[in-house]
Amino acid sequence: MKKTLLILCVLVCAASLVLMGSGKKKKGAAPVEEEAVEVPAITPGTQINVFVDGGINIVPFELFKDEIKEKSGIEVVVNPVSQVDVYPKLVNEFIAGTGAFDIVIYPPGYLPEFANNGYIIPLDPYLGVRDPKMDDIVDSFRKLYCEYGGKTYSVPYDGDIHIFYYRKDLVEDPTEKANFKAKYGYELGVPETWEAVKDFAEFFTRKAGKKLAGKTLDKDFYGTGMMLSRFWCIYEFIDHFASYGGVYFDEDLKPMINSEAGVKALEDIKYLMKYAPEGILTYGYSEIKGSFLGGNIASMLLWTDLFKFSWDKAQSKIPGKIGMSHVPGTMMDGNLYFKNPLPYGRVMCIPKTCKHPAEAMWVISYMSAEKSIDFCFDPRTGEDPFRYSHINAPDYLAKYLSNFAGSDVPVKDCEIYLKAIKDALENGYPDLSIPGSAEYMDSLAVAIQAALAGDMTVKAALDKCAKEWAATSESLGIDTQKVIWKNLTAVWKELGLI
Amino acid sequence: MKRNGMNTDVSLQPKGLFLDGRKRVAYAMVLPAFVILLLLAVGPLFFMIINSFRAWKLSVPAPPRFVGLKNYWILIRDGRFWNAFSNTITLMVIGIFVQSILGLGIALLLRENFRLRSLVVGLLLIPVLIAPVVIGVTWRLLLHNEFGLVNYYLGLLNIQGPLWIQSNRFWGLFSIFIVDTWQWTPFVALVLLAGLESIPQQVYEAADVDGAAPFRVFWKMTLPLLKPMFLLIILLRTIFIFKIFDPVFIITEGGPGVATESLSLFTYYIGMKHFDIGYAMSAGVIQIIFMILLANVFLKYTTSKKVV
Repeated sequence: MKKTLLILCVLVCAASLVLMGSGKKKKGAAPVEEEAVEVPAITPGTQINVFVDGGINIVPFELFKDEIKEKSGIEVVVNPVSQVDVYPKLVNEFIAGTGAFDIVIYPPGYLPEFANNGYIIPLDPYLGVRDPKMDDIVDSFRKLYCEYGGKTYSVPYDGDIHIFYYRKDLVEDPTEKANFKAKYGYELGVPETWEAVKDFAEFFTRKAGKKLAGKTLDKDFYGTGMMLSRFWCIYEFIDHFASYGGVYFDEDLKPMINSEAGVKALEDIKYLMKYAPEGILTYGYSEIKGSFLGGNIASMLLWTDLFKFSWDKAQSKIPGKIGMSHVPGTMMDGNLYFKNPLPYGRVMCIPKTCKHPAEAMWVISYMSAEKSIDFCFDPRTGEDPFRYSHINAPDYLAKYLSNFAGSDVPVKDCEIYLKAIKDALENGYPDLSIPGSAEYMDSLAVAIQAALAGDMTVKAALDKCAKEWAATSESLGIDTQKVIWKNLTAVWKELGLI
Repeated sequence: MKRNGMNTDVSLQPKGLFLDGRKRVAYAMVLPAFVILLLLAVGPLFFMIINSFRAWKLSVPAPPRFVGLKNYWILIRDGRFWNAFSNTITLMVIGIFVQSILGLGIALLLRENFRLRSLVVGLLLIPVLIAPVVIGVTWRLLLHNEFGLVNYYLGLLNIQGPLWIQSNRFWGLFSIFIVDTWQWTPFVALVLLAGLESIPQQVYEAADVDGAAPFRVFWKMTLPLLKPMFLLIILLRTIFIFKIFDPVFIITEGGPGVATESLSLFTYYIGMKHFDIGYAMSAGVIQIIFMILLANVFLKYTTSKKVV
């Protein structure tokens, strides 16, 4: 019997080896080569499965899937996943190659990795199916989000950029202005540097029972809010890091995250925690958005979609009371230096395993080129403007928001908002988008949280992170990573982003 | 020689794979289940062991390559791994100790006859039956600093509640410990209750006749007779806590930083976030070896004659 068992075990082991061997070829797949693809006509009745993170980001498809069916006969089925699971679920799907999704929507930071691994196909052969109007896409988004290695791999779904939000009504209040000047010796205004942000945050942090703009507070009020939970803290950090002139790596791919810029960035955040709600380490996007719109916070950095939410009375107590500005910076040689990071973002791609690429491309083009102005202006969605036709349409935005506000939204406010986006885009700072970006960013998130929780000093945490980044680059193939990083920074330089 | 119709003559038994008809049928009937078990249990285990000696990252198109013991060498010098190990052992030791004491108290109360006793026993099963994810989400809300009911009620008592989740390692681990204890103490209580009810009444009657004080009866008789049950609980809870994932993932996400990461969560992050498959598998192998050793120690002890 023992011999029989042994033989069976050997057989199973051999089968495992065979399976591993067959898997090896698949994992090592080269990038998809561009082939001469004859663009087929779309077939009505085709079902297109869309992979997208759930919540407010599925709303665009919910709003327009009936229209898509009516116009093309294509049936769109949305498959939402949790936002924090986008990367692992996508990689699992790509490795398994089940072909479950025809359109995948994810942050463009992962695009180089997916394109390099051959998980997604270039869209160039399919651009004739329906014009995605690529020229209308803001240059920085088109170059950073859509193109890789000279090919077009994606079309934007969401154009993300961070800007600084503050309570306009508080900044304009005469009593607050006078008190601020008496305490700090300069006029209360929109803070343009991180030092000014610290004063601003300190000044407006008040306990329940104190007065704020003439009204007695019934609960504590905070000068600032930040996204510091594990998934989100990297975006808060990059806002500071970029404005201190930080870059992720030097030209030889030596990690620069622990540079002076990195240390200053993290020390800023640690300092500002004093003026943020308790338990701020658990705050992510939803918490901070809710607190600000609930009227509990005086300032914060967030994506541009907050402006439209602020007009929606269903979720905002402060319609018409928010002001917007560029991300604060620092004075360098007498000049203000700042950067507006372009964190996250969403693009639509077609996976290699898609069985209906023509139909998928039709849906992608229709959503991005025809419908994005509507869903990016709609307060029920989380999508932000990314086309020139969006940022040049303040009247349309005012009209759209007025429906939700139940009163006229001033066109001037919409002009200010769209101009803030336009200006911010001219001075943007991209996410790290090289293979392994999810791993690099996870190491950074761990370091940030360890420092903010007081488990490590800021410098020690960032030094540890730099070591991990170096090890990650090594494990991913340092020479290949160097080439990709060099090519990426060349694009950033071309766009004037660094 | 035949006994009860069965051939028991050793010399007549076939050697090796050449079995007689009855045995061949018996083995043939067992074979499908055996092969499935091998494929589902031994196969993946073997796959894991082999790949733990490989550098295999899914974020690059390079195929896996053999690196010998490199993954293990990196792992044993990885502070994050030992932090996760330490967290898991801390939760295990404190958790089992506290849950055993609480469970024993509940079991002793339930041994008494009172109205609605059977209902209470039934209700005790609920925490064990709820999906761990549901428990995690519920407790995350209960312990939330701003909206949580726990701090709200502490506030009514003029007690400033701590920042349970993610304020630091202590409170993070303490939050996980509370959730684990809430979920598993009833299970411990039910096992101990079964043990208490299996103790013959005559033992207590004899002690009563001898005039033994209640505490002495409990200390000298009840506890020693419950020893097998305690060992069973320690074994099962050790295995469960060693694999703890859901509450940690949902309540603290292993944070702040990696302060509250458990071994399972560490392996998950390495494997499913960094997609460093080789490294994650080496961590998995180490955990399996540790668990096998631990389980063997317990099993050896529980099956020894000294126990009862």
